[in-house]
Amino acid sequence: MASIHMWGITDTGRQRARNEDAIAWDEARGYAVLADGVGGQNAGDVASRLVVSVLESHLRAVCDGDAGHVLAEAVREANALIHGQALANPVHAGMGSTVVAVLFLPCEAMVAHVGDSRLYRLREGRLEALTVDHSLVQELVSGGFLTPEEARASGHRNVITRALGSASDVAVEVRRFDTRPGDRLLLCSDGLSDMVDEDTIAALLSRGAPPEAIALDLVALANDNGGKDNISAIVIEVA
Amino acid sequence: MPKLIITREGVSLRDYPLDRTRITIGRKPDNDVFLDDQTVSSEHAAVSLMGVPAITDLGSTNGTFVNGVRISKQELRHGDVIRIGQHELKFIDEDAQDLAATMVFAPTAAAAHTARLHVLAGARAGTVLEVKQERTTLGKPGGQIAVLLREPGGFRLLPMAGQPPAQVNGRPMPAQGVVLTDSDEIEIAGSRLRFEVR
Repeated sequence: MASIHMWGITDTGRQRARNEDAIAWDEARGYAVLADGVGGQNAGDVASRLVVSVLESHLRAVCDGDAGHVLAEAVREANALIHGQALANPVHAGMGSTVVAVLFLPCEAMVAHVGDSRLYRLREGRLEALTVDHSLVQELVSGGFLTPEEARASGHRNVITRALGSASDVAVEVRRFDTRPGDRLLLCSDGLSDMVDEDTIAALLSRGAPPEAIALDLVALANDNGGKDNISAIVIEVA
Repeated sequence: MPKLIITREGVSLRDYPLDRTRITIGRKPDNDVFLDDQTVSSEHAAVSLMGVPAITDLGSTNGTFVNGVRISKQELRHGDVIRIGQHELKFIDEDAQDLAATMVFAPTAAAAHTARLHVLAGARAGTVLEVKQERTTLGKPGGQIAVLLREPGGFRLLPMAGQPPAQVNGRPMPAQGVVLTDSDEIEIAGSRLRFEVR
């Protein structure tokens, strides 16, 4: 496995009373997880924390094997737990969460995601999204009905079409991606990607600063731009 | 400004603007929100608007419920429904309903009903489209676009692009869309369609 260095930060933002995002990472075991909870009262917090704790318990135990399978199974288990809790407890009815998780194994790296939390890769100054949002506007962009610019300006860009907790099973999108020394990866919630445009994200990731400094700067910038939602970022440096 | 939309047994009574830091709700006429209802206590509950909006039950006999759950104190969010006696008070806070709040529109097993769209005028006049998907896109790229969402209770048409937006029964759709009922007429991108539920 290439040598990796990670750092993450999660922030309530400027306008929310609570932080419903949750993050975790483990450099030695080579994983990072980010979840953005949805739901009234404290249900969103409960859901995103549940996602992170289930994924961590699975990913800590990985020593070898099919990374994609491990990730997908972990996400499906988190989904079943949230769905069960939402059904059992009326206070948590309607709770859900997005997730984006990466796992590095000796020969490969995998990403799994559900919803609109994203993974970006910066390579030689170019930023590329490695996940495609499960959202209403993204579907319309993919179908040729909206341009990406129209999607970014849409009042309905907050509507996601897939989330953990909505049904007893969930379709988890898993893909393999390659990493090279010098790459930087970013996992983020929509509180970052809605507040900071991709050119600015690329410019910040391109700086020679360590992941800690970049993650802090990204969150600070999202807050400076309004901080309308909870903001989370995990920055990974591949050396 | 946030407000309460007050209804009784489904009948809308009035809107109450929440223009002070604290308002009281009860059966006595000196409350800010006076509810003429024997199942309401004389001083039943108070809504506080300092910082995060919240409702507190003032030791009422029959309780204060938010979204069906009995509470003693509870933060309020846009769209929450407060039930006090036979009255319902919907908390509306359009400013706080910022578009950053994620909404999930994911298929649920409960929503398996179907509908039809009958094209009355336009390019494909006379055709009938069966709506079987959770989401059906209508319109033309670069023009008016709307998505028909199958929700647990019915179908909602949501405007996604185009200014002015597509119309339902001759009126431009509001941003939050329109819940369709049988025989509603949609005008979008030069076509007129009738929504039909069986």
